[in-house]
Amino acid sequence: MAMNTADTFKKIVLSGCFSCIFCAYSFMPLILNAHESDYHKISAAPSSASILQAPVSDCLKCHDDHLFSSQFPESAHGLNGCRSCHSGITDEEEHMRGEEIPVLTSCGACHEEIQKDYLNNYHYLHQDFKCYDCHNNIHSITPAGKNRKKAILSQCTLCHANDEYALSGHGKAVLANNEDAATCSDCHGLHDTQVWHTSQETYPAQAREFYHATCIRCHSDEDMMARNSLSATTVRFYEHTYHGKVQGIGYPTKVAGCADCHTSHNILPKDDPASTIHPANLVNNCGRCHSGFHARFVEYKAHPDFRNRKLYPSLYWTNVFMVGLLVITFLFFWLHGILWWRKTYWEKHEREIKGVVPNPPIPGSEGVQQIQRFTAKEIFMHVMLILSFFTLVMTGFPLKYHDAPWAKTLIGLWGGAHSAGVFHRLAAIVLFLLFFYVLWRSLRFLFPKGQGAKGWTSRLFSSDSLFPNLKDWQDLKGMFKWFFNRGERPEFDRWTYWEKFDFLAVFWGMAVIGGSGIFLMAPEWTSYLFPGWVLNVAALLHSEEALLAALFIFTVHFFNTHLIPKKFPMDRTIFTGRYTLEELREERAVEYERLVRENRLDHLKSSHPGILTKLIAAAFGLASLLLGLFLAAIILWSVIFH
Amino acid sequence: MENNTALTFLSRLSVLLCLFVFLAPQSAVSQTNTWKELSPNEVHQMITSGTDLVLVNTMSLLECRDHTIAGSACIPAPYFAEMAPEVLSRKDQLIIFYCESSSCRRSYRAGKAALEMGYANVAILSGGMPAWKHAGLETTSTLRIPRMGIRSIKPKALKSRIDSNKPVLIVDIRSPGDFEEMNIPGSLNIPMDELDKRYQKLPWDKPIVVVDENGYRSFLAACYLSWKGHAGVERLFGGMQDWKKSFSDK
Repeated sequence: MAMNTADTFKKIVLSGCFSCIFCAYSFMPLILNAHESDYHKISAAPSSASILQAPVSDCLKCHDDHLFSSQFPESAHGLNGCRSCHSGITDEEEHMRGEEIPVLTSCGACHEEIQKDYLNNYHYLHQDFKCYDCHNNIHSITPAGKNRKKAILSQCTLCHANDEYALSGHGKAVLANNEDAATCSDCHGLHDTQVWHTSQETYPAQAREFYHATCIRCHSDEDMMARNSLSATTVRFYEHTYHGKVQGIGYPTKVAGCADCHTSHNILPKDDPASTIHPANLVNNCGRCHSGFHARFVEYKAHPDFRNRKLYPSLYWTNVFMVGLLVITFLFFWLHGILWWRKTYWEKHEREIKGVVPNPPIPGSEGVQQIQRFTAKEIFMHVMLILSFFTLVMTGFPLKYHDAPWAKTLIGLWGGAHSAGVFHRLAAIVLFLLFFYVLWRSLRFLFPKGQGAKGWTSRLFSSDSLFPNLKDWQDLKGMFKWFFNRGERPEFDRWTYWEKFDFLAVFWGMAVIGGSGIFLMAPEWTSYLFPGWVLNVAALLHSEEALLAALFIFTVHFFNTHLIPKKFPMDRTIFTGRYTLEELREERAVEYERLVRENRLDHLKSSHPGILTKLIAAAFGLASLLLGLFLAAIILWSVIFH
Repeated sequence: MENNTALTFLSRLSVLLCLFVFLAPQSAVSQTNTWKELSPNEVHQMITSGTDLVLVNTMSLLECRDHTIAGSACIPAPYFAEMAPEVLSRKDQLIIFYCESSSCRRSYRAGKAALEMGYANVAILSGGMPAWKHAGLETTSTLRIPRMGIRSIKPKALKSRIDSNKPVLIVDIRSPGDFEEMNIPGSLNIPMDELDKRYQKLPWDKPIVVVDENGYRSFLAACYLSWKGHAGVERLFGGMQDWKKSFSDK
């Protein structure tokens, strides 16, 4: 055989770790050789006659042990002949005189895949185990067949006795010949056994991810779970919980994976008093990570099926309510937006056919006069709102859709899940401050200094109020009539009904998303107020309300304010604080007349914003718009396809 | 006055900075007289290209005979000063030290001793033998200790066995220095290097628990004792490192 030096060296090298020398210690029990198993794919069966230079019968003339004469021909390697492993004998006479000793042949020459795996094997790397240290019956080895899992177990337990495992569900099932149950190698690997330093609670992220993936591999297999009367949805519902989401995004060190609650070997059903998940042991079990909680904290559900009305009514109804709210809100506002767009686009088309060009305000006329709509403080507040909202969305949504392809990239932008979590909480604090300031200003509007509560209802429904009144209902009807060409476009006052909705929805949103967020930020403290399952409800509310808020802002608010054909691509008013008198007269005719009537218009007249202000406003506004639309697209993609 | 103190502080600071500038090259010079770390593939390439080198396995003779990189000299780290002049006659030859695990310090100890003895060209195989094997490279053995089914016992279980006065002989295979620093009361110190000479004197009727530094070496020692006829030999899981961690707080 022509081989270059490097190849020869490699061959020798590879044979080193795999040399199946004649082993004198073959009194241990028969173990596996399962050709049907993945681990035993034979890559290069001995094929050529050159290997089988001499028939077995020649060797048996001297080596006439029962092992070779009757057991070997029946074994898995029986057809290979002696010289496929004991090669290098060129002269039988010399060999018989003891001068020529056969060269050790590598098991890896045929079992290539295993050889590759074995280079990672702890037993090989640190204790120099060779194939024959486990496969010590190499001359009589037969496929383990149905007893494969048990055979692995009996081999590993020669050193690694584990009473807890033997009594666990997995152990009992393996011993009862259940081929689905996890034997040692299913979790620890067979030929690629790796050691993770799990002792002494030093548990690296890598190990936790490895074991987590191992549990999930079987427990999400629907067929396997069905034939063993176990639930295949457990994994899916775990992934809906906070633990599952943080685990999924790749920050496993701070949240409970499967083995943290169920342990690794002592896995027992929860009605067994020795189980870590038995109700009597839960305080201890949760207490391994959490501290300072009330006992009812353990009423938290680790993987509840929120669609099961009988088992989890609170989660079921919360989910029904949130899904309903989402569907109704978007059905209404998306329809509203589409009809609005159709009406304006068709109107424009009509004008174009007729050649009617809208009259631009005459240069130097009053029409180009700038009118102040927002104060500097309000602009600042909106900018802070935008920044905190984007931070919350971009740190929270990767967690919500942790298995989406974009999730890990997005969380990576924040420097990983941990720092993203810090940013999420910081942004939440900013948003809370804004919210409380707005709340305070709203109260000051209703109860101004010196006037107190007197006449607050008239202020609540006044034209400057952001609270809906009868006119909004009429405007809404009017708009729909206008959409369907059944009437003129209504004339608006200072705040339109969709602007009022944007404003008031935040109060609802902050109560739901902020309240649940606070509970989730301090789950242990929450247990002094509520039982643990409230955290499940809070997590569901937080997640679904976030979806509602993000999609509402990035689609409905963006369309109503910026993307309608008249404003496209954006309305700068919120960033410059000003718009033209012409725009005021056209969009808010009622307000204009009111301002003229009350002699307040002159006070609102303002200078034209500077070029720098306009540029910054355009850049910041357009960037926010594009980012929001991009986020809406990936979120919608995940809603539909995940 | 205030200006003056600030000036004094600044001038002192600048003197210190200058001193650092002058000191820095000197420390760099002293650093050149040290070992280099070589990866398994680098060493393998040197061997195949015929570089003038010698590999030194710093584990005990028992372990070195069990398995080692082909062509290595066996010089247990504690005996380096004693054995080196005989085995490593040339001081300019490249000497590459290695040991059994990546956390093993023996190769560094031997490397340091070699530098002190005037060997000019010292290297350490980074990652030791596990890295060598992981790279798919060969080891060979001259007297292999057969691997046996050796049970391990966790620190707390061993402690309760001792406390309940059950018969047990703890054989500590660490160096006498390590043993003196801290040991399990009642244990017997037989360094791994002396195990093959002293195992016969161990009582045959007592169950033995082998204790090492961190759980890497006790398996082979326990296999050796089993091979030599001791029944029921066990090993301490995680060695003294885990023992310390388990009982340090209490």
